[in-house]
Amino acid sequence: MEQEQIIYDYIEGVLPPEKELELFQMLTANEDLRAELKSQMAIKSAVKSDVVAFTPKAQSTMNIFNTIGLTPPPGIAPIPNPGFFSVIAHKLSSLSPFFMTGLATAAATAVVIFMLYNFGTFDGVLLAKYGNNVTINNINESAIPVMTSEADLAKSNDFEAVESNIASKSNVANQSNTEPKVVYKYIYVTKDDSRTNENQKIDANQDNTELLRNEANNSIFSPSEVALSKANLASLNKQFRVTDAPLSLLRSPYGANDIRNPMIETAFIGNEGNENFALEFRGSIYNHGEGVKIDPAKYDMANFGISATYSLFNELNVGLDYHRENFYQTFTGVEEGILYTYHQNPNIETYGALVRYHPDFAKISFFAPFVQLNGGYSTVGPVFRGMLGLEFSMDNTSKFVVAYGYNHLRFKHGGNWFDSGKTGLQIGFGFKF
Amino acid sequence: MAKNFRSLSDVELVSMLSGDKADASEAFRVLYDRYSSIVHAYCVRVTGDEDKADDIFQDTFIKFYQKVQPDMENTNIPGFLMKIARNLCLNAKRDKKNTVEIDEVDYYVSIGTNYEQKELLDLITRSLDLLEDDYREAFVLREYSGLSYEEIAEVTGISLGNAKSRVFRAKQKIKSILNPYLKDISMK
Repeated sequence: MEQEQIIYDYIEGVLPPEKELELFQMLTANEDLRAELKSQMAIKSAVKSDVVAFTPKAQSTMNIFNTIGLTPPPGIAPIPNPGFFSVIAHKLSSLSPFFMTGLATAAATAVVIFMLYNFGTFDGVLLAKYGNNVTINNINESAIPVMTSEADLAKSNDFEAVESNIASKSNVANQSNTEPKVVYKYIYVTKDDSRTNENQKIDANQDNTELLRNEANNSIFSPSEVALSKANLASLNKQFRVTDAPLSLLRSPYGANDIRNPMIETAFIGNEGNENFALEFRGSIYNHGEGVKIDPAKYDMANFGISATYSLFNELNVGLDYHRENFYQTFTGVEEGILYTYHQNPNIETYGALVRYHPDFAKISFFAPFVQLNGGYSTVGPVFRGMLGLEFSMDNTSKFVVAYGYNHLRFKHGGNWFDSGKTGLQIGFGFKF
Repeated sequence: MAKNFRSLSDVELVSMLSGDKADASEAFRVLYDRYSSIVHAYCVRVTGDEDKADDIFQDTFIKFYQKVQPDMENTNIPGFLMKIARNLCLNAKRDKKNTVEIDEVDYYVSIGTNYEQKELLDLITRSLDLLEDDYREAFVLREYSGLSYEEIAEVTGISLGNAKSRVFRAKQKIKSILNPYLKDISMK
C-alpha cells in the first residue's frame, strides 16, 4: 500500500526528492514493484492517448462561439448538417451489437419464411392441379375462361410480322394452303408422377406436351385451363411428344403435387478483414414477370449457387460462380406452317464470374451495401446478372446477405436469339477464410 | 501593436471578455484553447456518453461566458469551468441513467495509436464505467483534467484528504479490474 502510494506520487511528480532514492533502491530489489511501476505508467500513457476524450468536436466549438456571439477560432470551417445517411449511421452505430444481431437474424428468418411460402405462383395452382389430375373430370369446357391477352397478342400486327418473317425464312408458309395458325405449345419439364395414376388416360410420353389450337369456332381457351384438362387434350388430333420439342431440355424430376417453389440457398461470403477468400452460396425467390404459364420445378438443389470470391481491394471482390436455377423461357418457332409459342421452365446450369463493389462511403455501421455484376454461360446461352444488396457483418468471419437483382438469359432456337429475364430476392449468410 | 493573448494569465483574459468584441473573441479563444480539452475529457469520461458530453461541454463554456465576471481576480478558472461542467453532468445524470458506448472509442482513436495502448484505453474506459460515480469523477479530474488534489477538493466540495483517498482508491480499483491485462504488460 505504502509502496504503491510512493509509485503514484513519483509518477505524478509529487514525490519528495529525498524519497526518490529510496524508491529506486526498492525498485532494484523488488520485481513486483517494478511491475507495479510499469502498470501505472501504462495506464497513465493510455489515458493521455484518449483522443476521443481530449478532442472537442469542431461542430461543438462552432456552436459555442456562435451562441455567445464571438468569432470562432480560425481553421474551424462551418460543418454542414449531417445528411440522412450519416444520421442513420450514427443511430445504428449506437445500437447494441446484440440488438443488431437479433435484428439481422429476425430479418433473415422473415425472408426465409417468405421464400418457403411461395406467394402467388402465377398459374402455379392450376399446374399443380394438373399434376394431381384432381379436377380433370370436373372441368366443364363452357366454364373455361376465354383466353384474352394471348389471343390479342396473336392478332396483333407485331405478332403477325414475326410470324410472316419466320414463315418466309423457312418457306413453310408457302407450302401451306391454309392460313398459319397461332398455337401455343407448352412444354412441361417434369417427372411423370401421373404415370401411376389410374385416371390418366393420356399416353405418358405425351404428358409433357400440350397444344392449343385456334379453332375455327373461336373457342380459344386459357392455356393453363386447357392444360389442366386431359379430356380436352385427348380430343385434339394434334399432339406433340416431348421429343418434338425443338429445344433440348434439361430434364429435372420434381414433385408436381407441391405448388411451393422454395429456392433456398445458403451463402458463404467473404470480403473484409484479413480473410480474402470466401465461398458463397445464394438463394432466391424469382419473379419471371407476366405471362408465366408454368410453375418452376421443385426438386432438391434446383436453385443452388456456389461462388468463390477473392477480395481484390477493400471495396472490390472478384470471383467465379456456378449456378443451378430455373429460368423461364418463352420463344416462337414454326412447325408445319404453324407458328408456335413455346413455354418452358427448365433448370439450367451457369458458369460465370462476378464483381462485387462495396463503396466505403455507403457503409453504415455493420451494414455494407454493394453492387454486383455477374456474367457467365449456361447450358443454353449466356447469362448476365446485376444486383443491389446489403451485407450485415459484425466480425470478420461471417455475414448475412440480402440482395435484389435482375437475371438475363439469352438463348437460341431455330437460328434466332431470344431473351428471358427474371428478378429475384436473394438471401444468404457467409463465412470468410 | 498586437497583443500577445497567449502570454496573458487567465484572470487577465477573463477581464477582457467584457471589453472590445475583437479582444473578447481573442481572449475567449485562448481560454477555450487552454481548457476545452480537459473540460471535454471530464464530460466524456464522467457521463460515458459522447453525445450527452458534447451538449454538456457546449453548455459549460456558454455558461462560463455568461457567468464570468471581469473582477474574478482570485478565481481558479479551470476549477470554475470544472464546477460548471460537474453541475451540468449531475443534472444530466439525474435525468437519465448514464450509459457508455465503448465501441465508439474504436472509431475515433487516431491511426498512429499503439495497438496495445488502444486496447488498454478501451479497458480503462470500461473500468471507469464499473467504478462508483465518486471514484470515477476523482480519477477523471486527476488523470484526464489534470487537476491538483486541492482543485479536486474544491470542485467536488470534499476535503483534501478525501480527494487524495478517492483518487488513490479509484486507481487501485481500476488496477484490480485490469490486473490480468496489466500482468501481461509487466511481463514484457
